[in-house]
Amino acid sequence: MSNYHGRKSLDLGLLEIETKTNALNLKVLEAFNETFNSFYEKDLEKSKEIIKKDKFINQFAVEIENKSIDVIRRETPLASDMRKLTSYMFVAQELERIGDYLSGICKINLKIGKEPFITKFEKIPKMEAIAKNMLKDSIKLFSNFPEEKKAMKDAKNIFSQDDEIDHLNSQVQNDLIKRMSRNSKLVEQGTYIIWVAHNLERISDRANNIAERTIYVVTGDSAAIFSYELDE
Amino acid sequence: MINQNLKNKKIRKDLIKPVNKYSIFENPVLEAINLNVSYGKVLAVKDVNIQVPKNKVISLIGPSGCGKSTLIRCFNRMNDTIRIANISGQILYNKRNVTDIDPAEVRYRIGMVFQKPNPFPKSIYENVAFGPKVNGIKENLDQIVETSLKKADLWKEVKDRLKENAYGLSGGQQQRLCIARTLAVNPEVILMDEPCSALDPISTDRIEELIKDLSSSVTIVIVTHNMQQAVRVSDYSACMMAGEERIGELIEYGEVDQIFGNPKDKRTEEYVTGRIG
Repeated sequence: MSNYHGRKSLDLGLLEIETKTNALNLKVLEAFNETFNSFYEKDLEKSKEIIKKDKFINQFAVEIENKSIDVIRRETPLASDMRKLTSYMFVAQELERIGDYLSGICKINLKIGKEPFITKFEKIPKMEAIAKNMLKDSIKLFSNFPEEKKAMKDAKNIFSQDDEIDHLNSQVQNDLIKRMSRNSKLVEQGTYIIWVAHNLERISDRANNIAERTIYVVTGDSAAIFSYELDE
Repeated sequence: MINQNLKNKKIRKDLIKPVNKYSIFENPVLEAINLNVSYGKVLAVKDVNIQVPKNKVISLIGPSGCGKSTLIRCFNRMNDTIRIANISGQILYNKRNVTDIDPAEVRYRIGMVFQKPNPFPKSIYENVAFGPKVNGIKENLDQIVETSLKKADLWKEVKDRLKENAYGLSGGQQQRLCIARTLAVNPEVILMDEPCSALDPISTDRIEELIKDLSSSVTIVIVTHNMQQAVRVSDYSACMMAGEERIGELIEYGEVDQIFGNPKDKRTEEYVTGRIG
């Protein structure tokens, strides 16, 4: 430690928050995988378990927020330290909301119950794959805080997937609304499935926010991504 | 003594190298152009170019020994009083080279407040009236004293004890008295060299409020080691740093939000986050 030129107490605080954020990342990714496995397989017990486990995600988010406030109060950080600390709080909230969307999908699974699905699920698995990719990539981006050029490239890559998921969401809505208008027996489940698609679309928005927040940490301006030109 | 050769040099505007876009202002009240200061053979400050805009608060930050105090002491020719100090480059006050102006007038227009309150061993009244008296003002002294003490947020506390010795005041009150004394001669600029470092948090808060109030009519350059204070009171901030050779340089100058939110120079980032210094 002889060459250490940091602020021990601040650096330890940041390390603790980073560790908690990494743990929260893993919990959310695990919940994502389990949610869709339980949904397609109609594993209602698993869905109940995921709903119960959401409280741990909430708890982690609160801990990250509290610890960040504590470090800000004690250490009066500036510049990149301040950007990181405010962003840890922001991202914890985003992950907590993603947990809520997943929990929401599990609740829909319980509502549909053992009743056979009215759809073959072509578009929703595509949406799921895109949302999962966006979430994984944004979490990775936020965990690494790469240098500006790489951060911009990776963030743009995440954003570029957003249009596709929005398009698929519209298609799911249109298809199901058409079918529901022809057959009223499909209305209840059809509405639930529209909600599943909607939640996936919202998860992808939250992943965008996490990527945008990484750009803020790296450059000091979250909107910088919109004016940044990549050298091809 | 100040380098007298400077007097005859033409002002070289092309020598002003903007540290970034914020370092160029239309009508700066103070300007340092290629400023070098040495004490004897030891170079203390090298190639400083900076402009101070009118009626703004500019904080100078940087580790101890980086030349902040040396720089502000050049602005009102305080370094003239140091025999071994040698200055090259130019200091302009409202476009005039300070070496072309009588030192007494420079210090009359550009006041200074120091780290440790330094009232004269006289009454509160005499401390404030001292500057105007020295400058030959004999009328309206009572009014000047009252106005200055009010501007320095001290009037209410001392109005009934103006004849008492200033040494009887608390540290915070003494510092506000020194500010009132500076204000009594109606300066255009006040230089403050760590004005709160010897004060408690409440006195510090009052001085900071005062700085913000005064900045509508006075330009203030403040040296501070308190980063939060710099964020709270200043509009612009300049970061100085001394390298391995212990020669101070201006490394970054910009709006305070940028300097403390997202500094461009790695050394500024390391300093404001407490990683060096």
